[in-house]
Amino acid sequence: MLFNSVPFIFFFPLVTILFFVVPQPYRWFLLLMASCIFYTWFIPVYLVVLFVLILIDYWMGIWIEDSMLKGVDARKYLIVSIVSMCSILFFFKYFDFFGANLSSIAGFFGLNYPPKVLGLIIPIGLSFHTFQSLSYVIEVYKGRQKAERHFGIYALYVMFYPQLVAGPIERPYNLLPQFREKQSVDYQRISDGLKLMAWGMFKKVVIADRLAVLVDQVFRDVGSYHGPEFVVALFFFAFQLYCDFSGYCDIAVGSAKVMGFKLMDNFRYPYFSRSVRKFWRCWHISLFSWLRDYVFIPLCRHRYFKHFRRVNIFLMFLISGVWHGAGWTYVAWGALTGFYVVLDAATEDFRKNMRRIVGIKEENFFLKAWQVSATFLLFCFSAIFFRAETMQDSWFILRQLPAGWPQGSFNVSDFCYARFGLDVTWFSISINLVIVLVFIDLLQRGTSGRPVFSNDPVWVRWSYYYGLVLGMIFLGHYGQNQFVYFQF
Amino acid sequence: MDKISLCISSSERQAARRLLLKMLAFMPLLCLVAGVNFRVDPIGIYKKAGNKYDSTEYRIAQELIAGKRVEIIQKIDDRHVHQFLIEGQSRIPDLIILGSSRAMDIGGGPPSKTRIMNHALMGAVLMDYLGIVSQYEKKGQLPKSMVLLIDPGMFESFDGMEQNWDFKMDAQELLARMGISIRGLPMGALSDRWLNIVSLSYFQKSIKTWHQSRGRDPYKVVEDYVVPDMLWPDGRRLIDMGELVSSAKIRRIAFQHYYTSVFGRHYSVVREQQLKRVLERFIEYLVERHVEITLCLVPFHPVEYRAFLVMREKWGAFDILKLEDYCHRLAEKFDLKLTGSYDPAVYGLKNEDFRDGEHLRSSAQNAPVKKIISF
Repeated sequence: MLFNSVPFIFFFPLVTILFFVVPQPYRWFLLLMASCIFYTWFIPVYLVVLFVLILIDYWMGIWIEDSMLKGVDARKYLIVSIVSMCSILFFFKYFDFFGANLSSIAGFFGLNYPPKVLGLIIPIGLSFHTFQSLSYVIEVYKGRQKAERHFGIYALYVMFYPQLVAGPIERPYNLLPQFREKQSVDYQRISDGLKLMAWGMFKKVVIADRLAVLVDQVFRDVGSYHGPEFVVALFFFAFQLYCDFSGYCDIAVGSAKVMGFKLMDNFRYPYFSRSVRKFWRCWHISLFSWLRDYVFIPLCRHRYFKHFRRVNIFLMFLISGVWHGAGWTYVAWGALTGFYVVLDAATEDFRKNMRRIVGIKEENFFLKAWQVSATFLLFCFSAIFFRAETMQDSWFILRQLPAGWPQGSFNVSDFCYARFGLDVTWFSISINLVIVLVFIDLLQRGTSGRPVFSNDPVWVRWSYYYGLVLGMIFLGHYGQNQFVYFQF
Repeated sequence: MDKISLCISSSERQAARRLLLKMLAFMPLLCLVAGVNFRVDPIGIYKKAGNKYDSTEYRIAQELIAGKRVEIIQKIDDRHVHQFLIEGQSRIPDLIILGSSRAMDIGGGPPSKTRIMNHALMGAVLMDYLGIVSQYEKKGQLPKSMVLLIDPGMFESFDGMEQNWDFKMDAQELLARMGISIRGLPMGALSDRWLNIVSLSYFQKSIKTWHQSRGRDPYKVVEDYVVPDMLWPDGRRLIDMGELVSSAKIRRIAFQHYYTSVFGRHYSVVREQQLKRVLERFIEYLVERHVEITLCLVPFHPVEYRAFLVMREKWGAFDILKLEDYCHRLAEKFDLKLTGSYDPAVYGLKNEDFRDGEHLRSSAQNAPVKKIISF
């Protein structure tokens, strides 16, 4: 079920009301059933895959804990769990990609190895489930989390519907205890949750889906476009991706909040980051903190890798690229992002010294504006690989970036229509929406997470709420567009 | 028993009441959406059979049956017009044409003795074809000949906002007579009839329809008025589709169409096979009833055709060449006549011969194209 679909309008209030009406001991069951219904709305048979994944890690968690209590080495169970999760992920997500590449390599050496293609549709959110499940087993192995012996509650930990298909990738010590607590009907919390959901929905249906019209058009048929079109498409894609994914996360966090569950924030205004490293601490926080805790830190502690901190950073981003999808474009994106971060870390002292010598203060407005813009531009550039359908398309875009710029006078209206087939109204609405988004994020950044208008007079708040809803009614795009991150 | 005691305390009940009151403040917006959807109802989901005969569509159909020419000014539900045309005809036509707006030029050749009725519908899908035939069966007789436009779009599910509730019901009846279970068929979201009342996309469509028709007569009867580019059910030219659009727009629409259609990103082999099976059974059903069938393919705009080829090479899902090949096999299997091709180069057609990505300009109908469209 999509958050931006009519069934969800009925599903969510119904589940929430039932959740508060049902006695606490049975709430897990209600949520588990609701999560199953939510998931079966996509491809029902994949519920089986999800249950296999849950069963494996449920038992591995228990066996790891039992072994540790008996003083026996539990590493084998951890390995079984990691291998099983990675195998499932590999089978559904990477098998075809691997087969095709193996075939190409064989062809290079003059061998005949036809690619084996399964053509399977990836179970929605598989990468998220596997990572969430793995984090539980690793935490149990590290002794920071007790094994969950209640199968239903463990299944709910993996399947909790607000974060079932695209995260945030929760940690067991944050989410599991909450399923045993009694959540009450708290006016302020529910109200804040609903506002967050509304804002997330606005970002998705009004901004992201609108911008997607142009972005999809350009990236599906790159051969027909040139530099200016790619620049416009990349600019819009940066905001589309942000609104799509952060919109999803706001709905997920908001809907969990309404029921009394606290999920981690996945975004912290990344487009105001002053460096690439800060950017990646504010973008998809749950994934990058997962990679930091379970890939980067263990690598830094490893006897062979501990001397290669920057290589480890690079590896972490490379893995994040592969996590996003089975394609060389994602590998290239991960590598480029890793390179940015390593370069940022390597030149930080030099840049600081230079600023000191020149006499530019860290809080200088123009310096901040330059840093924020540069970070944004670097992200847009890396997005070429993230969004392009193939590596050939990426190279084509890179080659075409300097080409096709208008000479002399320039008419925006003609440009919109002749290059994109869209009218200028579409452009002006889109640009204005991006400005509204940046403005609200800028205001919201200074608050402690509560909606920006919370303390304003009642008429201001209600104007904002009504504006938001009217915006969704009149400007929303309703074509049942999936969230971008569902494919991962 | 303690644990199972009622979970909501009085303070919680108070909070819930407060929340409910605040939520009620949004009810006017919800009522606005539901009210507009119900009142404007652009595809006739909530129209009752009784008041259909007060509709613009009914009046237009009556004018057409009376042999008058009608210029359509506001957006109407063309499916309803066709329904009334079928109901109101005194004689069953010899030949009917089933297809999307791309089929509107078919049958528009020089006058002949054959009584032709062109049932081209905007955005028609296979289920629309079934709906029309079902309505003829209700009338008691099928036409002797039929032309079926085979287009990629006809394999879409029956949930587009252009579809019509009555057509869906009629199509379901015919499917039952053909011995096909509707279980699992992509009959679409219209089955969620009452969910649709709060649909925001339906609301936007309603507002658009209302805005277009505001303060204007829905249609006018004209004497010698011949609008250059569009034909209506009786084969006369009635609507102008408007200006020639840019290649960029054609390409955008082609790719958008590709992505949102059954052949698109969420391409479902199962769905396509299902609908092809229905099409084959439909043809078989008509052949059993001695209806002479011609399959017809209409060329696409060169840019759109090239876009289809790019998609084919790039994603391999939707293959325009395979579809054309399938049509040939279908014609061979049922011993049907097949005319036309999707490839504009076959007819030497250029960009300027099209109004948009899919529709030919009447001025561009050279001799080979006329072969496709005249009967």
